Amino acid sequence: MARRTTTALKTLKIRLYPGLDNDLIAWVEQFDDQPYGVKSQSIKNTLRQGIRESTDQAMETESVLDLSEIRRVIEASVASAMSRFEGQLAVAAITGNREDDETEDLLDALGSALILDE
Amino acid sequence: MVLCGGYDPGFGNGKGVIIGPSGSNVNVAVVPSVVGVGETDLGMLSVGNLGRRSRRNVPDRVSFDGVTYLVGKGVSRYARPVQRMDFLRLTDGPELRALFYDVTFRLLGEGVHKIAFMVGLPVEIMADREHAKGVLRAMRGWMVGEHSFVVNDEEVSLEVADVRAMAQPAGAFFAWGLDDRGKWIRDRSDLRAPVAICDIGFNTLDLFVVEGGEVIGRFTGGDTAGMRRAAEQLITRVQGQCGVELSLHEADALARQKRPRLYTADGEADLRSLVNQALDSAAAGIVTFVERRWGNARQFAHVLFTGGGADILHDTLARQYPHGVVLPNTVTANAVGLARYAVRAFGRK
Repeated sequence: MARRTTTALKTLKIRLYPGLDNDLIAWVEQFDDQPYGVKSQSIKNTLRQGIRESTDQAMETESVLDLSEIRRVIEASVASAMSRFEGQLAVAAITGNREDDETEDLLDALGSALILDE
Repeated sequence: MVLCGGYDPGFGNGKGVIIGPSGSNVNVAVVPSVVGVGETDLGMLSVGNLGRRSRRNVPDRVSFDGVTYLVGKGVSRYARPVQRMDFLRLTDGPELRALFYDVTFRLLGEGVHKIAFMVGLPVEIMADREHAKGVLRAMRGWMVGEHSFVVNDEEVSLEVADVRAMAQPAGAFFAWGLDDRGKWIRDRSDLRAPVAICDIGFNTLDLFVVEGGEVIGRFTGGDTAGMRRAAEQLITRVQGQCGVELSLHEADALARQKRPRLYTADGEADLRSLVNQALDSAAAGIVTFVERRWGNARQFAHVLFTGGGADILHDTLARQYPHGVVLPNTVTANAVGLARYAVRAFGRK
């Protein structure tokens, strides 16, 4: 029988000590006047952002290890591709711009549909 | 320099966001939509406060045209709060002005400021074009121009350069898709796909669907079935059980507390069961309205929940719409998106 996995509610209790954690205390206190829920949401967002940034940094560090090898291979490939596909690369750049234009057009269309004119 | 801002004049809170040039310095302010006329200085009675005195529950004093209004948290401790819930409240009136001034002060502080605002209006208003135009005309009438006011003895000189309006949940859509410079940061296909937004406010429940740069009328609509229903029911039940009359905002604050308690002549009353009943009943009304319009909502590529009520009803919504997402910072999401679109709309002028 397949094992059921359940995620239990986790409650974090963190003590912030005056002197040691003044920066965090000041940051947390800015939410004291906010409506219920704003403080928890902000703490969660900040944790997520921190986790994301540290993951990105770890990935960057990993990539640095092979950077010289990667650069050598890419430079060789690009040089070879450039000589053969010069025309096609120009087309790809134009397509990218066209996609940006299309996004802008869609946003503008949505904006003009949404913004109320007197 | 003109700053771009979003203003979401909710019945529960007035929310404002200002974005600085090139998406820098994003300021967010949330002020409970509670206004009264009174004084916070209790004279010699204030001397009785010993030890650490918390200023947390002292409302802001907003003065203009020779009158001082108390705004925000704790107004009911000093004055009888005004509790207007009709949509006309959005057009003009000293309460609306006082709230707007306080939100602006909290965003920018004292000094001289120039701002262009994108304002969010409830879907129920936006759905009636002529009514919406009338509301916008009235809002522009008092908002656009120069304002001088004083908040907590600090002087503010504000010039509102322009005001435009869009539906409040459109703000949530842009908060989800745009960055602070007004650039689309999601996949381009998300602009073409059907995206549904359910905005559960204090007084309003707005459903809003966009697809391929258009609003889909069939799935869009608004109702006054927000969290106010829970607050009203709690008021009735507390009145019946404890004999205490709560204001709408006091009842809403109790509904948001983890351990809702109230001091009465009979001692401390635990309101947990009353709050749960009121929330269950409000949730049932909200889910019924959403189901009537959207069914199981599986026809949408993304379902976004926003508004202060989305936080409280998170579990019910997750059960009913497992593919739905409750946006981060539900209270301010609309104002953030309005400000982000304001950067596009006003930044190009």
